[in-house]
Parts: sequence; structure tokens; C-alpha cells
Amino acid sequence: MDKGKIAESFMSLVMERSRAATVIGDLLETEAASGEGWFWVHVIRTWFGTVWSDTKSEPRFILGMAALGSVVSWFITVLAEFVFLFSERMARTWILPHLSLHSEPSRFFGQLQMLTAVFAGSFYAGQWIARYSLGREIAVCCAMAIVDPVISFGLGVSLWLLLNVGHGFLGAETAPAFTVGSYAWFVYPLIPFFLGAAWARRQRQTPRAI
Amino acid sequence: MADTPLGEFEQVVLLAIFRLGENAYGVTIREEIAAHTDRDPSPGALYTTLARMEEKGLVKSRLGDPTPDRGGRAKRFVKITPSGLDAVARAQRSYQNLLRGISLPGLAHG
Repeated sequence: MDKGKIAESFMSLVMERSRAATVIGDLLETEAASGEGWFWVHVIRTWFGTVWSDTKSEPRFILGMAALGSVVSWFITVLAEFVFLFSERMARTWILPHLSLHSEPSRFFGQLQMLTAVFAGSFYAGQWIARYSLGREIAVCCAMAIVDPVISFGLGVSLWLLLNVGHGFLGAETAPAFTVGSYAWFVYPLIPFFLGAAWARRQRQTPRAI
Repeated sequence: MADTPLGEFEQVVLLAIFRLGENAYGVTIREEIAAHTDRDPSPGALYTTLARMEEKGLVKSRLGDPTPDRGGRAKRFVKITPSGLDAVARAQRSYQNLLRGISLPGLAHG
């Protein structure tokens, strides 16, 4: 795959395909005099410039969609996690004892299950949000990088308080420690969310007109 | 859309497109601006401005033929619309009205 096609594919995430092709054509034409480094710097600058322009033109819409995406992602993730937990409990109680298999809960599988639920929930939420973003999916994804940690933190603390309210409320010994690692938990869902939005955009884009 | 006030960079881009006539596309517009002003606009700033002005109906674009030096990609030629011309003329008249009766160093007034 040549660099023009890679750059065009990248650019078409934030603008319609025919426009992305003409922009990359212009940058390739200028690259002969300015160099390959110049080309990539301006591909990235144009990409972010377009995202910023989309955000600036309708900031309330973009931030609103980002907040909605965050809530939808959370809702689906929690739902998926409950389905996983329920299935695991059923399997440990009813199926594994009959097969005489080890049925102790595994920390590794617990974390894998959590990662899978977050991935599935965020990917689906990204696809869902892309349908209503009017071609500005990536601007919504970038806004989510700011909005999602705040909403996730709020929802996470609320959920934790809800679950621990009978065990001493804020004074409980199991109070969550918000560290760099826990921030990674807030950032991780953005990856599948972005992939889901990009996937939906690719599905919607018509074949190149030129 | 004709009543939308133009930003300073939008005026520069519209005047460059007007000067270039039929040959106005991303590369030549940047070159025209660089040749006649003391600024070298980034491609990103130019493309977002062009897209915004097209949404406002100030310019319209058409695709040219694909060329090999651009990896088989077409040029997007831009043309100023009557409402674009009207908007830039109105903005320039405002500047001229403000300049009337004063003199700036290195600037000749009619």
C-alpha cells in the first residue's frame, strides 16, 4: 500500500472520500518541493484541523454526543458484565460440579471478562453514536477523550457507593484507589469506541467518486 | 448566507480565488496567497476554510481530471459564487470606509 493510499484512508475518516483524495493529491503535488516529512506533518495537521473545525462549528452537539456515547457505552458494558457474571455463576453452580471440574473463580478470567465486556460495549456504542453524528464521528471520539473520564469517574464512584453502602459507605476499607492504572481503565474504552465509529463510517461511505 | 460577515482569512482566500480564475485549487491558492501577502498558510487551515466557505455558499467546487503527478488524484477547482463576490466586496468597502480620511505608513489611498 503506497503512502498516498494510507494517507487518503486516514484522511477519509474526517472528510468525505472524494475531498480526502483531492487534499492528498494537493499534498503529494507539493511534497515534490517540500519533502516527505512535510507531507506527513501536513496530513496530520489537516486531519486534526478538520476535527477541530467540526468541533468548533457545533460544540454543543459534539460534546452532547460524546456525553451520550459515554453513557451508552457504560450502560452496555455493565449489561454485558452482568450477563458474563450470571453465565459464570450458572456454569460454576450447575455445570462444572457435574463434570467434576475445578470451579474456583479465576482472577485472570475475571479481568479478561471485564476487558471483553468493556470492548464490546464501547465498540457497539461507537457504532451507535456514528449513526447520529452527521459525519462528525471522529470529532465526537476526540471529545470523548475529555468527557468520558469525567463521566466514567462519576458513574464509577456512584456505582461503588451503591454497592458498598451497606459496608460502611465512604469509610469502607475497600475504597477504590484512583491511580494512573485506574485512569488507563477510563482511557481504554476510547479505543474500541473509536474503532466502532470508524467501522460504521467506513460502512456508510460510498465508493470513491473519482 | 450573503449577510454572514467574513473573517480576515476568508477574505484573503476569496481574493486569491478571484485572482486565479479558472485555475484555483488548493496548491495554487496557497501559492497565490504566499506571493501576494506576507503569510504562508498551512494546508490544513486552507482546506477547513474552503470547506466552510463552500457550506456557506461563498464558493463552489468541481473535480478536474486525475493526473499522474498526484497519484491519479483529481484537483478540486474552486470558483467564487456571486454571493461570495458580494460578501468580499462588502467587506472591502468597510475597510475602505474606515481608511477614508486617515493615512497609514506605506499605504497609498485613492
